[in-house]
Amino acid sequence: MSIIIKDLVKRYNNKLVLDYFNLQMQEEEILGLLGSDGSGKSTVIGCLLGLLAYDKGEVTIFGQELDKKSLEYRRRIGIVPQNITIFDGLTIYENVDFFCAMYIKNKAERQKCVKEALMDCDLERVSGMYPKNLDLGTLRRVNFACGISHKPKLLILDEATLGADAVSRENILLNIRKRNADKTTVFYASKNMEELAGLCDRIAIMDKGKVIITATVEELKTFISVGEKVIIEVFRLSSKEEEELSKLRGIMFTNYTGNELVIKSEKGINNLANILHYLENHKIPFGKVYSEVPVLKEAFWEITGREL
Amino acid sequence: MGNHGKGVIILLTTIKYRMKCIIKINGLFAWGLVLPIVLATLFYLSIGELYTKANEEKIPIGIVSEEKINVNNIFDKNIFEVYELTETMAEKYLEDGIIAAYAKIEKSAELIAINSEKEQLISMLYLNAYMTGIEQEEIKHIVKEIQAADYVSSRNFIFIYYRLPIVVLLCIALSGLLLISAVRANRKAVNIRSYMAPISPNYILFYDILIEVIILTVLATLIYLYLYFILLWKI
Repeated sequence: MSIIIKDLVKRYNNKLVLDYFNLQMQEEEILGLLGSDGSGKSTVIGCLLGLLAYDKGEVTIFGQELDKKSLEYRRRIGIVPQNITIFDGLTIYENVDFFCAMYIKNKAERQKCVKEALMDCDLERVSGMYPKNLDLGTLRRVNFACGISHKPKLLILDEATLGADAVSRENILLNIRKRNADKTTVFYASKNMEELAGLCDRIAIMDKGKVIITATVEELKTFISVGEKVIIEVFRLSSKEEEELSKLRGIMFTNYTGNELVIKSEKGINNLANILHYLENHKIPFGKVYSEVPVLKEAFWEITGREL
Repeated sequence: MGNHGKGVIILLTTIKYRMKCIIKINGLFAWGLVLPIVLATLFYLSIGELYTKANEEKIPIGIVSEEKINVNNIFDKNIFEVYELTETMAEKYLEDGIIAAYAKIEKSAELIAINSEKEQLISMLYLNAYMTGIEQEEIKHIVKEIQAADYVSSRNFIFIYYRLPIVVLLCIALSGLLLISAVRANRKAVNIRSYMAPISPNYILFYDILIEVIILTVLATLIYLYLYFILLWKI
């Protein structure tokens, strides 16, 4: 096991943030920690890295109990924080070199690692530029490069692609897979379910300070009980009509707000024709109609009872 | 390369990059230099006041000479109040304290005085300058220094003797606070990475302090030189 977190309890001013949090992580796997804003993901990482003191519990990394003073344990960890933590006064090359120098003393070896990280993250062209001249997506890649340049055995990421453009996001995810293929264990905290689903071997869903379930993507899909989701632009709908709609066969959920009617049906039931038929019969004016197949974030809704 | 050599490289890399980070902190050098220069200039203005006050009272001096001479060639009328006297009158004036000293000019010059204080010293300087052909302008700054020092010591304001180091220290203390605060914020931005690195948590802090000391030393030298040359120029 790379990481074992057992019964972790953490309070901020008597507010319980981690409530007997448990998590186990295999070596060389990619584990995603999924949770909504404020669910405690960053606190878990803080405790895991020894940056935050916790009230109760045990954290074991690489078979050893967490020792904040152990330099050897830190040497094997790479961190990509949620905030972009680089120096504005250094160029991109210098930033990566500065942080890499904390891990690798040999200059030749370090230069090789820095160049490799810059190349992997497609930052060679901007290596001489300063952060203030770069867009958020590129800064996300720089933030990532600073965390991986020393080739850690355990890579811990916190919302590593937040705000990044599609190209930068894809680059970061590609690099995570590449590092994992080189036997790096990856722990990735995010609120982006689809991103985690495309990347992780397993996903731990946390809510209200504890892990509710840890499962593979395929296992999580079995939790989805809803079928298609229909969104219709409706210009007038009484509460009586909405109630009648909700009583149609197989409809699980209706919500009408701001000219938008959202209807979720049971798994395997196609209700679109019936819904439109009802609207026409009752002379209810409607405009655009969308239909969405269920996505993985529905599983989060099913498991936690709320939106991600 | 041995471990010691590797350590030197990592040290130089850290110092080099942290130095660059600190120098590039927005507005730091502008404030770090502007503030001390403004303070130094204000101090300089107050010193100017000191010289003016010291220069307000003229030195009464007598001249005894059988030949007709232009007294202004000997004693600066801005500093001295000159009395042309006979030797008998000069002795009486000196005894009564009306004059600080009198110069007896024949083939050679002689200064006669009862005390040996500031007035006598200045009079002696002018008399010697006259006899040796030195321009009055050339001894003016020495005279001003003597006057200011006497003015200060007569008021037990002794620490003014160390005015340059004191002002430089005050200016640097203020600049130092600005510098330390800005550097701390700069370092804090990447705390999570440095705390997680396999180095001592105080690693970057140590180098930052070293760099701050270097920068403040350079600033102190610049301010000292600025004050020193301004004061010399004024005098």
